[in-house]
Amino acid sequence: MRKLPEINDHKSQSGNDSSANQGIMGKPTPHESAKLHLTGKAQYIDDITAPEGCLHAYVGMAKVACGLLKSQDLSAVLAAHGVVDVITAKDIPGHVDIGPVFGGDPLLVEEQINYFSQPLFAVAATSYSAARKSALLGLADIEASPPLLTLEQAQIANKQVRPSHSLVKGDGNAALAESINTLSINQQVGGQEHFYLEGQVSLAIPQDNGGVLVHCSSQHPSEVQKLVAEVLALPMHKVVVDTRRMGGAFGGKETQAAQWACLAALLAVRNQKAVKLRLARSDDMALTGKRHPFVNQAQVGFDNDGRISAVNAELNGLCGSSPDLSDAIVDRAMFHTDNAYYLPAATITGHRWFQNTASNTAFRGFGGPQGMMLAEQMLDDIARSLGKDPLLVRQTNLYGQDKSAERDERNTTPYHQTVTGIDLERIIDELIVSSSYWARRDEIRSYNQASLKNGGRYIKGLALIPVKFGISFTAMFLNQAGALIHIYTDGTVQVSHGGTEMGQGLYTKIAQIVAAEFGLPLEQIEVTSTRTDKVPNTSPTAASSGTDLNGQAARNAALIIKQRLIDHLVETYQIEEQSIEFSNGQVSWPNEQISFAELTQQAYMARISMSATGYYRTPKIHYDRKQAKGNPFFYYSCGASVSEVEVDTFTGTYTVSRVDILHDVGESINPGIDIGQVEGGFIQGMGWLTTEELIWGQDGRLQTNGGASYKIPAVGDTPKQFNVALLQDSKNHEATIFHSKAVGEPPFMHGISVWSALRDAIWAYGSEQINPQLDTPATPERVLWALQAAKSAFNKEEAES
Amino acid sequence: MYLLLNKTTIEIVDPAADTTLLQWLRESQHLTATKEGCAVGDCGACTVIVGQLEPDTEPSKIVYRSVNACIALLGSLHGCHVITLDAIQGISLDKGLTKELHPVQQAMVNFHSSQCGFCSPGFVMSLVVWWLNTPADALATPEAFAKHRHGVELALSGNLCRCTGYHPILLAADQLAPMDRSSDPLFDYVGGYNHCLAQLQSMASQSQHNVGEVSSAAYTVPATLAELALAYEASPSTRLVAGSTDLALDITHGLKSIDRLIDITGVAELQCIEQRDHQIHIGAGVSLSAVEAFCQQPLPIMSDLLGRFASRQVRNRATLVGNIANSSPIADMPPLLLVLDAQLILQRGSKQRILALKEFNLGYKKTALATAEFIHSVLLPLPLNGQQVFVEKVSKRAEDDISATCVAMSITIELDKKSQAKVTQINIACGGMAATPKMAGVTQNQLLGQALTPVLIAQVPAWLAQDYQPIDDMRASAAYRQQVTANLIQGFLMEAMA
Repeated sequence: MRKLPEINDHKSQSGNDSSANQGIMGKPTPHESAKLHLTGKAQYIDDITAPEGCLHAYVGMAKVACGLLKSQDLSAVLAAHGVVDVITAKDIPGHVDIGPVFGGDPLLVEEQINYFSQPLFAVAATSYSAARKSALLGLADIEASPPLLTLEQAQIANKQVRPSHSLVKGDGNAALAESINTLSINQQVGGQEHFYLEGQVSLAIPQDNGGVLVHCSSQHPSEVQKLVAEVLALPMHKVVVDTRRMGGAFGGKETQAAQWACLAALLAVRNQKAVKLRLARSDDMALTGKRHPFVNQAQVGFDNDGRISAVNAELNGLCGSSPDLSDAIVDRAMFHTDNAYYLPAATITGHRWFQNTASNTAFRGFGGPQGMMLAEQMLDDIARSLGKDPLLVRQTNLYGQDKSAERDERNTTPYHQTVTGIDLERIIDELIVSSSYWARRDEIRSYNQASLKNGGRYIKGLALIPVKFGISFTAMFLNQAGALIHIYTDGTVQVSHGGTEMGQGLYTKIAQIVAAEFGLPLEQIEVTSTRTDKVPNTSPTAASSGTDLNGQAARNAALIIKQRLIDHLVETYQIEEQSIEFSNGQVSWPNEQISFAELTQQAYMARISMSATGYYRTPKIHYDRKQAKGNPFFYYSCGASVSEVEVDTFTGTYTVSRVDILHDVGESINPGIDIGQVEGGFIQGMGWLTTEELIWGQDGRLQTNGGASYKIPAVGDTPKQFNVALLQDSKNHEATIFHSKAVGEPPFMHGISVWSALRDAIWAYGSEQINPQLDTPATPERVLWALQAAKSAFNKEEAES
Repeated sequence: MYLLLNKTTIEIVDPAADTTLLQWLRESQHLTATKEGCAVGDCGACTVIVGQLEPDTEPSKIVYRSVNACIALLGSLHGCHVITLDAIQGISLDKGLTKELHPVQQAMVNFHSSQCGFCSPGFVMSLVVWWLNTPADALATPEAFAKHRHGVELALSGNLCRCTGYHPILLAADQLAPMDRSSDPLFDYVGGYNHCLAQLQSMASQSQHNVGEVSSAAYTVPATLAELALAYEASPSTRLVAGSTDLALDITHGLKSIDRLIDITGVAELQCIEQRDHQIHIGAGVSLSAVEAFCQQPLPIMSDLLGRFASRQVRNRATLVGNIANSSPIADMPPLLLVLDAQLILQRGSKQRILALKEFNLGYKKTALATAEFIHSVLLPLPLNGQQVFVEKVSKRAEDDISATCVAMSITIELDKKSQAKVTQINIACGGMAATPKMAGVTQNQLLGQALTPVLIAQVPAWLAQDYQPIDDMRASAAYRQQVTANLIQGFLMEAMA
């Protein structure tokens, strides 16, 4: 650069606001891509203009769920219109197994077929439709065997994808034996399809160095990079993975994106042509893993106030055909079997059962929701068996409720972490007021009594549920992040970081964080696509950690450059370091100010580096899995919700008429985005527990493989009254980025209040003595059967009395 | 064929019968604002706006509707105005003015209505059409607000969002509701309304083939009833198509190649919906949205049921006759039509005959249509004085879902000579309960001529079990179908009795 650019003063719209830093943090600025989304300009991978001659890849799929692949005749595929290349496992130069942690996930089947639709071969053709049509033409000689599809079948075969594991605190059995009351629970919790609107897709472009550039819709570009390199037998520095944005992910693109990226890359390098692989919706649903279904069993002991004395729980995670992330997912289910409640003695065992289905995987909450379902059924059932309102029993059991006891005495989790910094008492108290819980409880009781008396068709239910969710990856090494900041001589800033944007607003928050550090308006910050050549060795954007980790890393990078600029100013102008302020696009010190752009030019001329990497690792966490002891979580994110439902006793259909949520995000970096996460998470959680039903046939084929049969919430399912608020005057007690709290996953579990409210309505319809059994998803059919069971129990009691 | 794509008229020579609008937009026109989320009309990410000249209006007028591009066939869009989101973004206007966002887009920015953004283009398009076609309303009363929200829910019933939970989208619509929309904010992006109207009028005058001849085009759109009958007789194995909302799934999901189709929607006579005497006549080309709008007054129960039928986008293209001709056991229209004693006018060549709808379905996907015979129209009698009509659809999700069961009943109760109230007429029909939409003959016979009493009504489940032996599938178990159908019919009877 011979000549420096002209300086345009980028002034923020806040005008003379001298505290631009504070002005950016905590403001509900729109998503950085909002205008691009809403004008259709935002590019997703299928929208990228592909290089001339781009081929389209697809996979040929197994028509059995279990068997041995003896041979394949792919001549018809090769001969089909437009087909350029066909590959099988034998054509993979490097690793065939792309399992993320333990193996068991072949890129293409070598011999053992483990689930219906498992890819047997891949084809590259000149058009998307030619690729899809030709992929139907493969002939496979398969020695089929009966698939393992249910928990019972897996238990009989004693087949787990990983060994069982237990959390033990005290002597659960002895404490149970001593308990005044006990009850047992057996609940089935259904799985969930991610139904990201943009399906799995990758575009691989061969490079002149023998390597490949892969545009991939992935939450974990670094892992895709590693796996592509391993599959191609290339060193990692030959592979670049680029993810600008995803059209939704929710955990479904943490490990599940890699297979399509690897196949596209392999075909691209073999043919020296760009190759795109995009799964059609029905195939995406058949080929990729889902949220783990669980079967939870527990015995719980409690006193006459409903205070829990002991829990013995068995969590059976149905993992599908390979370990994938199931070890950590079932662990997190176990870590959340307490939800917000103190368990004095507990033994919690998690099993990881095998099924001949696509390997189940990460999904918002990562097992936590399935564990919490057990906690919430415990609390409901205890309350009902004592004739108490469930809310009172929940409050009694909250962590830290027994003020008379020694500190920590009612604050230790089953994994021996001391719970601190949660504000659930306050959250619940405020929510009781804002939702008029007790008044509505009375109204609903009267409504139901009148309805039952008059043979009314409808019955109502109400429930308040707290959520406490542990923040940090439980795999310690993942709790690290990197960022890279470049400042250019016109005063604009580029930020790259290891996190990916899937709609959660991470890029927006990162831009706010960097803008605040440099005192710049947001327009001067550009967060670039996430690329493995910008920031290496990144962790997946998962576990709600995106902003906590990458925000700190980006801030650290900003602080490094800022210090260099300050040092330059101190030396040049002989001023006090403390007197320098970066705000509103200006850098000022007593009696003088220059624009940030001018400072960058001065720094450039003075030969000061304006590029830096930042790095962050979460402090304080440690966990010894062998002992099942430690502090796996840096802190907890909390909130609570109240849901009201109206149930049609003729059909079991229901509406969620009102929902109130109060959620703690600490000091919100962007309340607009955070409320969006809370609302969206709630609806997704509600869908999981109500209408979203996965059904596999006897042959192991997924029958609910499209939007026609798998029903995620639609617009009319949004509660008519939906009041969502963030807890005010809250601050993370730990030193997180601007004392905010992670928000991605925790609100998902507010959906449990809908399920609990449905049970409340069913309970009101039947016997006061009987806790309704309501497995999930609580479809209208399950609700109707539960209503009938409740009514027959009631009639039986009447007859007996 | 010609279509107006955003502001430009485009000629397409003999489009393949099985090319979808979405495929053409993305692959041939490289217009990528319209997204593919499912390719089967379930998610709405591909929603575009389609304008058509309203027939027989003076002055001429374009009516705009939301349409799923993924299941609309390109050939069906001759003479249409297709607006995609690619057009609705920052543009320069005359006099150095620029136009940035459409009010719908701005409201959605204001309320954080997009997260991942992949569904957003479809939501924008659905909301733009809703806003265009809905008068401004200050939402001053709770009733007005509830009506507004219901209208928005109907407009967005075919748009799925997995991120936001819809609330911020509803809030954006609330902000839009009272805003002035008289200055055509949409048409600034596509060259002005008059430009569009002129283009469409010019296209309308250009027929695709000589009148009276049978076109050999892969996608044939006969202009008259005679041409249609002739074309179908000449090639009875060719499938007839109207909105293609079901047929297109064979292409996008079933991966079938379809060489030729005959589109019935060019025949003006089949586009007719009108009330004559005590019957509604509904031509084979009439969309479900048109039926929904028409029935608001004469048969509101039909409009209400249609609110639960698929989505706005699908209803804008799908036809009532398609729902019948398709002969699906889970079709949602036949139960109500059956209890109203609907009849069909069938045509083959130049000959027409009338057949009662209850005679139409012979078995699973089997109909009474002879070779080269097609449904010309439906004759739908309105309820008589004293006749009560009930219908309920039961599904997992309220919007855009397939029925577990859809139950309809018409009943007339009259006083006999002894002044006893007796059932003098009863029809019961269900979808989802048998291989075809089916009437409950046994139950009807048992109830006819009887005085309704709780004791009599208690016997309904046993009779229904003789009428229906439904199956277990992914939507519901047989037992649930039986139970719910019985509950609903018992409920209807109790209500009729009261």
